Amino acid sequence: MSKEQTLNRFNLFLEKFERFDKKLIYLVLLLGLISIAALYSIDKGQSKLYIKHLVRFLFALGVMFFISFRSISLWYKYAYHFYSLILFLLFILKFVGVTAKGSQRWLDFGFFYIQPSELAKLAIIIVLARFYHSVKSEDVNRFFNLLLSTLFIIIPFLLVLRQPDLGTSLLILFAAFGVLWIVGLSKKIIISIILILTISLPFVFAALKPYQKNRIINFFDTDRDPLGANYQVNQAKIGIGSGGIFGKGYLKGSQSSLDFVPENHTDFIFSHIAEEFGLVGSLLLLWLLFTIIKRVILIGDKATTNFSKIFCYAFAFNFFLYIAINLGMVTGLLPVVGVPLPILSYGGTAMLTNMIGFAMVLSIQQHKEDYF
Amino acid sequence: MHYIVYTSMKFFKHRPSEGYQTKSGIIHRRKVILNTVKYTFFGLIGLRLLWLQVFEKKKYTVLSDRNRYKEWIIASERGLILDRFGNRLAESRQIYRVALIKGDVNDLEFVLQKLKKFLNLTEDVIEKTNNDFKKIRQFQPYVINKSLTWSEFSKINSNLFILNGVQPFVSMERHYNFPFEFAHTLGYVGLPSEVDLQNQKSDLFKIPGIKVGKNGIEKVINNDLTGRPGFTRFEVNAAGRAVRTVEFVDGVSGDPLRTNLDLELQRLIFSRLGSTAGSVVVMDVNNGEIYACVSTPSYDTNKFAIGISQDEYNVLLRNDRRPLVNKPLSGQYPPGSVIKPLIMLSALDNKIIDQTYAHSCPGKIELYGQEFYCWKDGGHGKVNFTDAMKKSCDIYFYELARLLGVDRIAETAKKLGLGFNLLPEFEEEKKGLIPDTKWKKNVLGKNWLLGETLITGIGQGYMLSTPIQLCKLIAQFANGGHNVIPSFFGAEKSKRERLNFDSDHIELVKQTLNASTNEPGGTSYGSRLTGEVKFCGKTGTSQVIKLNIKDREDDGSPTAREYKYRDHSLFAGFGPVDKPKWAIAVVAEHSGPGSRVAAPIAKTVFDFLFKKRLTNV
Repeated sequence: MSKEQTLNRFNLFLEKFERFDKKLIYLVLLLGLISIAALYSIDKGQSKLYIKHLVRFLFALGVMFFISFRSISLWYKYAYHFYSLILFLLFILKFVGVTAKGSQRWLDFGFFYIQPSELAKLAIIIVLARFYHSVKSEDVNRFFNLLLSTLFIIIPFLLVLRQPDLGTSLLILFAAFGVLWIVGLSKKIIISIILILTISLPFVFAALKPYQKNRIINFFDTDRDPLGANYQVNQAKIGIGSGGIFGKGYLKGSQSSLDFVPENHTDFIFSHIAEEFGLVGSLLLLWLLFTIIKRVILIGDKATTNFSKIFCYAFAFNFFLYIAINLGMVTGLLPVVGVPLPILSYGGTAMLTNMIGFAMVLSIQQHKEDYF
Repeated sequence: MHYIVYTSMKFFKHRPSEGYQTKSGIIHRRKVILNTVKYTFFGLIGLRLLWLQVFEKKKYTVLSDRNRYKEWIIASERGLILDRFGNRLAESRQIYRVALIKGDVNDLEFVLQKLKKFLNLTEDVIEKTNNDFKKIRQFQPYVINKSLTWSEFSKINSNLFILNGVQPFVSMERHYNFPFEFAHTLGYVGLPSEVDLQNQKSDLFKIPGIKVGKNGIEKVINNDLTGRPGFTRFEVNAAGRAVRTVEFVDGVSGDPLRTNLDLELQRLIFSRLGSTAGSVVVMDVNNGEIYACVSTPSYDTNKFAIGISQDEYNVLLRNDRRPLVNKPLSGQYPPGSVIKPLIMLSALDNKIIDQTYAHSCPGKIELYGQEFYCWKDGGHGKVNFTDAMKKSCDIYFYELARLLGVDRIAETAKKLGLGFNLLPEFEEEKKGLIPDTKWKKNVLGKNWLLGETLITGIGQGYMLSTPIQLCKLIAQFANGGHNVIPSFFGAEKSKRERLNFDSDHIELVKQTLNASTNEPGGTSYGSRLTGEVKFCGKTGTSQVIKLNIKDREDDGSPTAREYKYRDHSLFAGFGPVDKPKWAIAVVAEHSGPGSRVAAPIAKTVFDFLFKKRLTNV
């Protein structure tokens, strides 16, 4: 490679970099920094989780840039392969997965663990986007197409449900449903699905584990069992509420730092942020998350292919779902389901999944002229 | 808002059916609907946060603080108790204790075994600790009931690494410098009982390990002595373990109390009484300040302050000389001849006699077939006004009582303050008893008999009084007929209130009292002080049972009768005679004649007072 060629490539690289949607990158970076600061504040750095999270964030950032420089057509091309790979990982989990907290969710890759169910949420969006890209709009509601997409959805759903991981499997279902909605699933079908679900609810409830039943009962009766199943939410609400308008100040929150709020690093991290920064801080964070969603949708609007559009909208919806369910749970609006807050919560695979998602969005924005 | 309205209009208004739309058109429209859902939900979360963080902030802040902070209240140092010259009678001392913290102790049995070795704990203490430890809450310290010596304390400290959850600490404990001498007067402190908790609605009782005054002065002014407790506020984590100290507020020691007591005098009297069961009260005749108030036998209040064992307590309870009773205040005795000045005053006051009145004493008289004896076999012969008191002639006073009638005697007695509580804040104080016809009718349901009037005239029968009442009685003669309110502390700045008696009559009685001690033939002549300054008073020998002939014959030897049937020996007097300053009442239980036991004790006291205190005052 001659010097000139190298320079040329470098210039091309810079040019590409210049064209990136900087706003989205900054917003994601900001979210990562907030997360690390919050993790540090919870135990004043004692557990070193914030360093681990920082390393993961930097790694995921690298992955994000690497992917975003590649054309989105690659994802289009290898969508089914990617989906199959994830299905394979989910399948072998049964045999080689690491069991923790009563469920088999992790794959041991030597120096890191991967949670394939997190990646499955992305895979389901990609495969459906790929599938519906090729389906004509008038064929969306054809029986054969519906059958195929149901198969795409139901296989990972059942594999994750079996781990068991009710929260993630439901999220996969919702994310897939989001894609179907976007591509124009007939309202009749949607209504009938809702009806079927409503009718089958009692049976689903009967099949739930006792702790899951408790969570749902407790959601409707918050004063019941304040030290037991409602303990988490009550303590989280105390954290949020005691923050007030301006918060207790950075490093001065007590509810999470003194371990009153369980899962304070992961699912309930918002409680700590709201306690230290108050209503002002939590609304700003809400605004930040919302802006990211809007940004992704905006990129989707400008995308030229249906695959890109569907992916952007579906990813934005998925991102929203995480936030909605997590915040709904932490503030006591929804029953407790183990759903993390994207990027903010401590957890490697979930962050990687989201960063890959952002990478694809950036790639879509970068390569909108690419047709396939 | 515009946006939402626009969106929903699009959703509901005329539109071509989906089949005719382009694919990206459908996707766009569906996306817009989805966005609406997102906006709504974010708005909802925002409102929820507003509700939690603004409208319910107060509630959650309280809950958060309740989670976060725990307070450990530290009892403040209990106030000193001083005598009138500033000598320390009771103080707080540092003592070494050890506590077990529940939750930190992994293996209670092992820890107790080790502690037993280091501290020589008895089986009782171990068993009690074992039982109590189960009942306390997590992370609450349990203080082992034993104060450690320095060597035990250091042994524990150097072995802490194997003793998980053991916490040696220094605390303040009440210490009585003269535990026996002042046992009844000062009282002692102890852990509050249920009754204490109910009686006093003070927050002080929430202090862990606080001791409260259980009786005596400690109880009466418990609140002043307690002071204000300090506290340490800890931040605790969800497991209840203290993470850091947030605030430390030092307590305020209780106010020191300067009493009217005289340490040297009290100790003198205590040793002078020795093994005799009895009581001595010394007070200022003018303002009622109590210089000494001794009750014997006594007990060790320091043992009570730390916690006395049941066995030791039972020994005290079973002792027939009743060491636990505060005899000056709650010992009720027939006053015997000590009441004679009162009878004489009553007779003068009621104009029944004057100082020229004389009566003959044949040794015994007969009334309705019942014989009433004078203490002197064969009688005193012709007895004049002064001799009656001086020789304590019973026949003379039978006659005065007969002339007066019991109701007039009772009236005079009540005027002089007998039959009432003098120190109502001391719960153990007894009222004594001044009988009259109405009382007997009401309480016993019987009519008063003339014979009962006669023996009331010599302080026998139903009449009962406490040593402190007798002291007050004689003090009021000494000060010329002014009311005196006894007090252990604080100058009662009340005006000197004259009692409604003719001062000449008081003076006449005082002269007869002087004769009793300082003229030959007087009952307490043997105990007189020969110096320039003199004291005087009236002896008394009060019978516990009705005597029979044989008893009268045996009277010479004090040990002839069983202990509990022996006479009480009494003396009430004042000094100096010329310018009275102190009054004294001595009661020596079951010790024989007043002249033989009680009067010599009074002599010792006045000897001390005249030599050591008269020049000072």
